[in-house]
Amino acid sequence: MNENRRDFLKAMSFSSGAFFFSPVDSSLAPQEDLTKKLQGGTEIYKKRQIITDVVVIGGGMSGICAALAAARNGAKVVLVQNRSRLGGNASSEIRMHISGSSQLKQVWRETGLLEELMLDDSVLNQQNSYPMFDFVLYDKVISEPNITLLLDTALYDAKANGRKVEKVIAFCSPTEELYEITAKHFADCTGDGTLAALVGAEYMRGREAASKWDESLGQPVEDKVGMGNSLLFMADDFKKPMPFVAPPWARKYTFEDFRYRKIYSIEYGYWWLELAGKYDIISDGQQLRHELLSVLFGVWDYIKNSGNHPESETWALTWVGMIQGKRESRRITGDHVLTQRETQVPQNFPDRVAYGGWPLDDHPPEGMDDTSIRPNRAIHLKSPYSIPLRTLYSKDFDNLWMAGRNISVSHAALSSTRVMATCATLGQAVGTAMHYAISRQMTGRQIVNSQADMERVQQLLLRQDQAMLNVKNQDPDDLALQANVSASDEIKGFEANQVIDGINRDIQDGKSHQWRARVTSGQEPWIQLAWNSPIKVGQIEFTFDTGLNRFLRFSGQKVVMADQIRGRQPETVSDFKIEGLRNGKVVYSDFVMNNYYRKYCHKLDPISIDSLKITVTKTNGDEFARIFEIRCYKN
Amino acid sequence: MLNVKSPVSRILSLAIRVIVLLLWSTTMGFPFHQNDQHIFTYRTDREVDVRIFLAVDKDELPDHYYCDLFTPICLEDLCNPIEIRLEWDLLGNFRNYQEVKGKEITKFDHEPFEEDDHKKLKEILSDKESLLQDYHIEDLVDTTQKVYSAEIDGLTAATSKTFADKLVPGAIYTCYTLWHIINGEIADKILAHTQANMSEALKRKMLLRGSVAYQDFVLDRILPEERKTFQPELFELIDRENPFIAIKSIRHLPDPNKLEPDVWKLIRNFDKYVLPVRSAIIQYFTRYPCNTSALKEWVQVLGTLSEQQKVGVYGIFEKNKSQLDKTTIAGLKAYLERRNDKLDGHDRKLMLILNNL
Repeated sequence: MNENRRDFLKAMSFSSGAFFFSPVDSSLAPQEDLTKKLQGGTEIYKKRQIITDVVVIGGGMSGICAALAAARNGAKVVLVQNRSRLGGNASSEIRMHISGSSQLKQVWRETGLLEELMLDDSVLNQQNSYPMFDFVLYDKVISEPNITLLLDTALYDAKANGRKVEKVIAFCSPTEELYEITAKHFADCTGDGTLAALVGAEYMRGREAASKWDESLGQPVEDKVGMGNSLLFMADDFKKPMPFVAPPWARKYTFEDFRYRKIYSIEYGYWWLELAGKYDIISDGQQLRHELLSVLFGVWDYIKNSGNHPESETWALTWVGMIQGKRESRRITGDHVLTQRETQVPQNFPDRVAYGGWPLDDHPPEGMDDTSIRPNRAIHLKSPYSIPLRTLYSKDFDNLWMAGRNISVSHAALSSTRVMATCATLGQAVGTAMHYAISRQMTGRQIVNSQADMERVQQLLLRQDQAMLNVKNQDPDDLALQANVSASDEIKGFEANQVIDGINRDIQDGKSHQWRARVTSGQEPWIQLAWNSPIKVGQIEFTFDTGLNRFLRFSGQKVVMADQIRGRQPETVSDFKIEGLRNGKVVYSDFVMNNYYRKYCHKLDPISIDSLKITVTKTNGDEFARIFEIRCYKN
Repeated sequence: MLNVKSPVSRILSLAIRVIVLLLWSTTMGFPFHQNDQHIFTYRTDREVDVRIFLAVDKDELPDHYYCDLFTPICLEDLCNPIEIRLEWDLLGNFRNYQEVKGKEITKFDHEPFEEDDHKKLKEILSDKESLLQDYHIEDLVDTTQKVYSAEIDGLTAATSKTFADKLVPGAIYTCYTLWHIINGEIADKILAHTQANMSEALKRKMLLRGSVAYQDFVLDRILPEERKTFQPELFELIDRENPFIAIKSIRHLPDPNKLEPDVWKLIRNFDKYVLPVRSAIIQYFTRYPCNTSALKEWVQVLGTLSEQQKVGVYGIFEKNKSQLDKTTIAGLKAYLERRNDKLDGHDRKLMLILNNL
């Protein structure tokens, strides 16, 4: 028994000691003389060596999308996530809703992998359950054969040589496994930029001076603080008195503390339960969590026991977050630093690969330490803005990429890019770019510097429905672009030939970019693509309408769920017939049912056809068949 | 008081002011009052000197600040130079503007402002958080959309759609220029001037005749030794609508024993206040020793209290049990007996305290 304990102690000491023991109390670190006498050590851990194409560190929304994108393009991916669940800030462990460009209240909901995930959640999780949301993400990742998912696995070291990251070392505590993962490309989706910091890549912290990049949200003089962390809670109405006694360490609040922090509803709260202050967001996380809990219980105590919210009498907490939702920590420096001005005055970067649209939404570090000041300052944007690839790889390493809040942006720009829908699209961009880099043996910088390669990456991303601005389908492999289009009928302004106009969504240019025809019983509209000479088709791709003008995101907050449509989005085509014809004769046919995706890819054994007819028989509720785009590929 | 001077210098300065204002108003066509004081001059980024005056009321107390402005507005000369009187309140917030007859503000292509345009412009100028401080003027126009201008036979950019409700369409330069003049350095200087010239009379005026912002400002500057002096104002503010101001006023009240019998109205009117104000009143009486009279008042309102308020008021009784006289004890016991089958732990505890007295 005693021997086992000594082995255990030594085993723990292979790292800094403090990592595995309580980071709060370093007195638990083993003494040197004791360590020398111990036997065994880290040998008790099973060592796993993995060689792969891509390692993604971090299983939040950006990491998930980076892994999925790289894997679907053909790369072998290892996704390392330090929790048992995927989703990061969006997961059931933190419960922040996924925000993004829908906040512009126009048509700019993010598409691509995020849209696929949100549609899945909307359809599969109509019970609005947080654990179910986690499993929607889990299902998507685990079903991807090219991804090896390592849950409960924490990055703790990394090795680099010159401008190349070579390997990462990660530890899975519950299985006592040590992973040494060698890869060609690495994506830091940790949020904290931990991988970049481990290999010594340059990163930024704190708030820049206003003068540095002409930023109105900048400070008179640069500092080292930033936006705080939040802990959320959920509560329910139990229809009977539910007394609450706050722990003695809970903070005390009075009515005046809520002058700028409104308690509109009590089922879910509140983003402004936020603190940073004197704490280092990363290394003081343990203390900060306790302070945030004292804030959270203090606010709930106020709601329950101040007498100012009698409606709370029958309410009780049903869930309290223990993992802090972080807004800001390290920002890894890329070849470009996106600034506030570039979000306000959108730039048509040649290397644009994603866009943002959340307002510049800066939070003072004081948070709940100073309730006399407003908890945020939001500057609304006039339109979505492009984010260049140069912000998504480290300037110091040839194979280190980043997606999420730790990309190369100023503090002020981060206040917009940090939201998870934007982060997810950055993940998709990085995942696709990493695979492209591997397949061409290029670096991110080389791709950006080669116009032809950059355009190919953009075309690839667009084909995969990535949310991008001002990129039109010019894919030379898309055979649909050479077709003549006709239809059984069409609504004025929604003509059939718009399915090959290169634009797959409403971009507010006054055109619909969509074919639309009425579907009724007995009226099944069709659209036909015809070629002058036969073509060989192995894949047909459709982009349908999923109501991008609405919000589509899961939240515990009623007001966020209001005006959303859970389940299938009514505008989307559900059932349709696909017919391939040659010389007027049907040589291929299939019938697709129950579709709810925006991007649907239909694979078939390559066949020679001279026309393709799509007949829509059912939508998910809308009276019109709506198709934004049809693409045809040889394979 | 403001700028105390010798009688001679006052007459001289008055004379100079009258001449300056006469000249100024002749040019600009605005009314002036001889007691108005020139406070400072500000030069805009268009190199226009703006003279800021303090207007005083009939009691010679500061009322508001103003300037008469004549400045070009548009970069492209598509709208007339503006001739306008701008007014700030005593804290440097936009108060109002006055137009010169025949020289009204115009929009794109010299179109006159409608009533709604004025309403919108005043709303924008009042918003210190406006995004006009975060955007450059050229950012606010949509360079992808051009609008035809008949007068100069050419095209100019339209207001960006996103900013349509943040600006007066067709008058972005007016909005932008005026917002920056109103909410820039001049506002800071005005606030500093008011701060440096606060008096008891001005505080009193701002508390009762001013906006919530004035009340907030003054309440934050009432010194402990002034609390008794401002007692009437504090009581009046407690009865007004804004709960934050009411509670701030309660926090300023001195010991209730020094405010009798006025302070009893807080108890007598207890159920007329909104919940947060009621909580603050209980906290106030908990903070100080209460005498028999106050405790008697509390007994009278027991029936109107919520359970949480009741617990707070019981605390007041317990803390001041030595002040409970026979009538009050009897009143309390009678109240508790009426609760009879609804007695909870707090009631029983109070009963025990009363029985032990």
